Parts: sequence; C-alpha cells; structure tokens
Amino acid sequence: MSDFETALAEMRQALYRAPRPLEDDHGSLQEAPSTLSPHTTDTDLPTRFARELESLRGSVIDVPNAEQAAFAIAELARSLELRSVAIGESLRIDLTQIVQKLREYGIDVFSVARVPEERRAELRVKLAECSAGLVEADCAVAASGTLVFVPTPERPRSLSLVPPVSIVLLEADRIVPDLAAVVSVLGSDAMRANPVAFVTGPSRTADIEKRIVLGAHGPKALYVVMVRSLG
Amino acid sequence: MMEPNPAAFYRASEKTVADEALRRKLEAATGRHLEHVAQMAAAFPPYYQEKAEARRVKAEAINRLPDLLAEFKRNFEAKGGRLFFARDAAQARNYIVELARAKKAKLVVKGKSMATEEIELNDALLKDGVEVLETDLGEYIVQLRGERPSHIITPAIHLSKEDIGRLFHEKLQSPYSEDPEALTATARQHLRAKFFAADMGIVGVNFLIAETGSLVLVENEGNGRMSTTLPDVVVAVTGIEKVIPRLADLSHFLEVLARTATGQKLTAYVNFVNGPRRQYELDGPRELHLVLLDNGRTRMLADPVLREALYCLRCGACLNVCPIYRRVGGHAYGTVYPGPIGSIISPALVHNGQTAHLAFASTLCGACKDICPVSINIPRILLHLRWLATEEGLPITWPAGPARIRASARRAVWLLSRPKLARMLSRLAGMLLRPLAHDGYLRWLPPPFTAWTKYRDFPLPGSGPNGASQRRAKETTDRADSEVRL
Ligand code: SF4
Repeated sequence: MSDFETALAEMRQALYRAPRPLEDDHGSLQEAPSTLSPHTTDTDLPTRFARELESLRGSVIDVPNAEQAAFAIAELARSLELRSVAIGESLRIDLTQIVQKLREYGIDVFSVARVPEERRAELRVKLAECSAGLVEADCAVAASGTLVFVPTPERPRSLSLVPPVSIVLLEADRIVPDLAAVVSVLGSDAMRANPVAFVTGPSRTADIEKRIVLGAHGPKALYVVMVRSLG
Repeated sequence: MMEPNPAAFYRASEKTVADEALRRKLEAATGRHLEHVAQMAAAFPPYYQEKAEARRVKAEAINRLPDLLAEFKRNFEAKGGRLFFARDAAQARNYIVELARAKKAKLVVKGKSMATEEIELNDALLKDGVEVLETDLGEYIVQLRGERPSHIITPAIHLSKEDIGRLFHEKLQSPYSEDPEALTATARQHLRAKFFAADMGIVGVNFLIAETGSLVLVENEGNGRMSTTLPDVVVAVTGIEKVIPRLADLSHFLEVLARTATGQKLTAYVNFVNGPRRQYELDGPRELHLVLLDNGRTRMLADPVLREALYCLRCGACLNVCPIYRRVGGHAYGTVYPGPIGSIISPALVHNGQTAHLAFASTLCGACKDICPVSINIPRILLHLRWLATEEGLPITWPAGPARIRASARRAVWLLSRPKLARMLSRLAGMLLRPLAHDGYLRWLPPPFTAWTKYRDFPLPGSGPNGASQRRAKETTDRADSEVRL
C-alpha cells in the first residue's frame, strides 16, 4: 500500500471509531442540491452588474454594438495615453474592427494567442511592458460585479492579470444573476480544464491599517466595455 | 520561534495588554472589520442560508474525507498534476526542498499560505540557499521585519502605516512615506521583477474540488494568481481538510468567505488551477505539484468533538471578534495559528500538548461561533479540550499571577457561601468607597485589589443589580461582545 492509501485507511479508521458527531447539528450527509433562490431579483442584470463593479472602482462603458465598442475602446486608449495593447483571439465579439481602430490611433496592438515555445520568453517581456490588456469575459455575475474568464491558449490567463490596465469586453447577454449560475452557463467541463478566473474589480489590498489600495499586484484599473447587441 | 507554554503566554499577554499603541492598532483594525461584516450581512439576506449550506457541505466533506481525497487525486493526476501526501511537516518540507534542489531553483515567490507557515517552509528553503520571497503585501512586510504574521488574513495587523513606512525606508531604501498607496506601489515595484524571475511559485489553497481535481485560490491582491501563472514550477501546499465534493458546492463558500473575512461580497480574485500549461499557452507552470498535508489532522478526525475544527476556512473572523485576541494580539499566543481557531487546532497540528493551556485562554463568550462562516462550535471544543487536558493531567503550570487568583478565588468561595456576611461586607465597602467613585465605578481600588483596576474599572460594591459581576473595560468598548451579533 502506498503512503497515501495507508493514510486514507487511517482516516477511515478515525471516522469509524467515532462515526457520528455528538450533536446532530453537523448537517445532513445527503447530497441535497441547493434550493436557494437567485441572490438578486433584479431583472435588469446589466445595470446591477455596472452598479456593483463601479462600487469597487471599476468602470463600465455601455455601448449598443460592436462598432460602438471599437470607438469607445479607441477613445479610452487615447485618453489613457496607452502605447501598446495586448490581445488574444476573438471570442464572441469580433476584435478586427477594434484592432483596426486602435492602430488608426497609432497604438501598437500585439497578440499573445497560441504562442510557440520559442517565442514565449520574448512575448512575456512584451506583455510585462505593455500598457493594457484587452480580452473578452466569458460571462459575468450581476450580484457581485464579477467577470469570469476561461483562459485558453487563444486567450492566455495573464492578459487580464499582468498589464497595469485591464480592458474587458462583455456581451450583456452573458451576465448571470449570481455565482451559483456560473457553473450552469460555462459548463463544468470548461471549468475543469482551464485556469478559470473570477475577477471582481481591480487588484486590491487592505494590508496596511485595513485601508483599501488598488493595484497591489494585478491591474490598477479595470474598464468593462459592455456590448448590448452583437448584431 | 517563541516556545508556546503557559508562562510565556502569560508574560506576552501582560506585555501586550499594557501596550497602548498595539491595542489601539488592534482595536481599530478589528473594529473596522466588524463594521464591514455587519453591514455586508445586513445587506445580504441569504447570508445565513449560505452559511448553513456551507456548513452542510463541510460536514459532508469531512465525513467522506478519504473517498473525496481519492477522487480528487484521480482527477488532479489525470490533468498532469503531481500529488504528494505528507504525513507531517518534515515530510512536506523535505519534498519541497528536494524539488527546489532538483530544479536548481534560486528564487521562490510565495503566495499567502498558512500551511507553509505551519510547516516552517521558509527557513528550510533559506537554509538550503534558496531565496524565498513572500508576495502578499502583509506577509512581505512581516518577512522584512523578520517576524511571523500576527493574524491569519491580515498578517501585519499589529503594525501602523508609520511602522511600515520606516521599515520600507530602511530595508528598501525608498523615500520615507506613510501613505498606504505609496507603500503599496513600492512593494508592487519590488515584487514585479521577482515574479518574472522566479524559478518556483509556492502557494496555499482555499478549496480542492474532488469532482474536477481543481485547486481554488481566493485572494485580493493578485499575487496568488501571479505565483501560479508566471513561474515554471508551481507547488501548492494545503491541508487534507480543504477538499469539497462538487464544483456546484463552491458558490456557497464563495458567498460567505469574503463577506466574513473582509466584509467584501467577493474577493478580487478567485483562481482555478487546473493542471500544468498546455501546448501554445503563453503562461502557467510546466509542472504543477500539490503537497497534501496531514500533520495531525487525522488525529483531529478521530475525535468526534474536535473533528468539527476541520471545517475551518481560515477566514480569520474569529480572531477579530475574540475579546482575548483583541487585547493580546496574535504574537502572544506563540503559535502559527492565533486566536480562537488557533487555540483549538494548534494542540493537534503542531505542538503536541505544548499548547493545551490555550484552551483556557478564553472567556467562552461565543462570539467566534456566531461569526464563523461555517458555525464551528469553538466554545464547545474549547471546553472539550479543557476537559481533555484535565483528564489527561497535562501539566499546565501558570505563573504566579493565576496562582494568586486561585487563592483569592478560594477566599471568594468562602465568602460567597456566606451570603449574609457577603452582603453586609459589600454594603460596608460601598459606603466606604463611595467618595472615590465616578458614575458608579471605581478607577482605583486599595491594595490588595489594585491589580484589578490596573486594566479595568470596578463597579461600586452594592450598586448594580449584579454587583461585582459587572465589569467595564477601561477606555475601549467591547464592541465585539455587545453590538455586533451576526
Ligand atoms: S474557525 Fe470559523 S471564523 Fe475562525 S478562521 Fe476558521 S472559518 Fe473563520
């Protein structure tokens, strides 16, 4: 028997010797599925999402379609004086128009999607030095203002982590009421295979006298461009 | 490390209770936390339901622990993760030190992890010539000071911004500042380069999901995510009790953990680590290891009362509400895990009988049980441990102070079993002392009672409905005991 199996046998023994806790307040052992109702009764999920995220000092830019998203992002990039923006491959919202607009504004746009081993080192440095990352969220949670990313080789995880400014595209239809709903929207296979990240506001710390400071290690600023319709 | 024993604990508490500056810092930080939690709970009606769900899942997980661990291992390894089971701290340390040697690692970045504190990993790596850097801001600060964290989730709770400003100025040669924003920026800048240069990342874990073989890390700063994304080798270290059955269970914990720990709805980051990086992926570790730590946990499992302590999510809230922790601070306990949860798990986890006295360092007020996101009945476990200590005749020798208290307790028992005499004496004392009283309280008592009024006012005898049983803390209010009841 391996060490691990021996240990499991000992745990079984330990549980067997004292099968039941003293009082019956240890919860039932059945696999009862949760019957909790959704945590928000808001029907207007985009508005709730925006309110939550803004209370965490993230910004939401509400646009009707992908074309307007391109304008909004280019304007944002100009006002923030971004020099270079890292991107991955498109998810639902087509990035072509956006990239074009950014380049018109003289901003260097480079891709970190599907990187062959020999280019990793170079692109990691480039990503570390760029001014912003642009990536689409797979879904979002209204009740907490949370963005959910399912990173893949096409959209690597550091896109929403390493650059100091994070610009996130979000399709308004992909906003779910609460955390419990995320699994059903993304599917457990996606959440099992990829380095999923829930991101709620800019990176923050409260380690000095419990005062909140943004930009501890991750992005200092978070902009969500919420696209109402893809049509 | 300070040897945990009754005398050391007594001396350290006496020192910290008298340290006005430390008390102010602790009161401010823990008080602010409690306000946030109370507001958050009030604004979120399903809070109690979610707590109950979280507790139900934990009960199930602990009762099915061996099966869930086996299931977790299968799924984790199927994705290319490597699992090492460590019976004790030494085995865990050795595995990681050997691994660092094999990978010729020179620089290790660490995410926040109490489990690595528990196994005293940093010293072992440093001794082996590996540079180890804590990257959680609070941990980084205490590491620079050569200290141990004094709180589970707010490691530098015992320091003011001025303390930290001086520290950074001295150790990092940054211009002196006491602005938290500037200090955070300094740390960010210093640590950024290290993340990219590190050969290995070591992190703690909040949840292991048996169904999917995922590690889940909950954090605010992004350092856990950096530590699991940038280095080529990632080692996660965690206790066996962190496993939960299903992916669908996770939301119950996420709904309560941040709310209780910091008063947030959710932390800035919840990261899933699902195996090593795949082909064409820019980042993620080439190798992913998990050190699964027993180190006394199976012993806790065998005790039907203590078993419940394995539900703990390490949220740190019980520390903030504890009237003892709030007075003595984390370092006085002399253990890796301070506060109420520390008092119940330390005996099994680390010190083998050396910390039995901590079960007696509690007023049993129950605030910890009330605030706990999984409602661990800490007071019951404390009583159980007291009973065990007495039953097993563990030698708990308190220094002179408590012996004096025992003597006066004997005198009090003698007096109180003579109610007529007691009432007469109390009335007499009240009459004599009335000229010294303010608002019905005495700021000073004549010897041999002076020691009492050093820290607390004494009610004028014969005044209140319960007479001498009412106490009032000097200057600070016991907000934890009265206002915040969740
Ligand atoms: S015992 Fe409960 S309150 Fe204390 S740290 Fe653990 S989970 Fe939090």
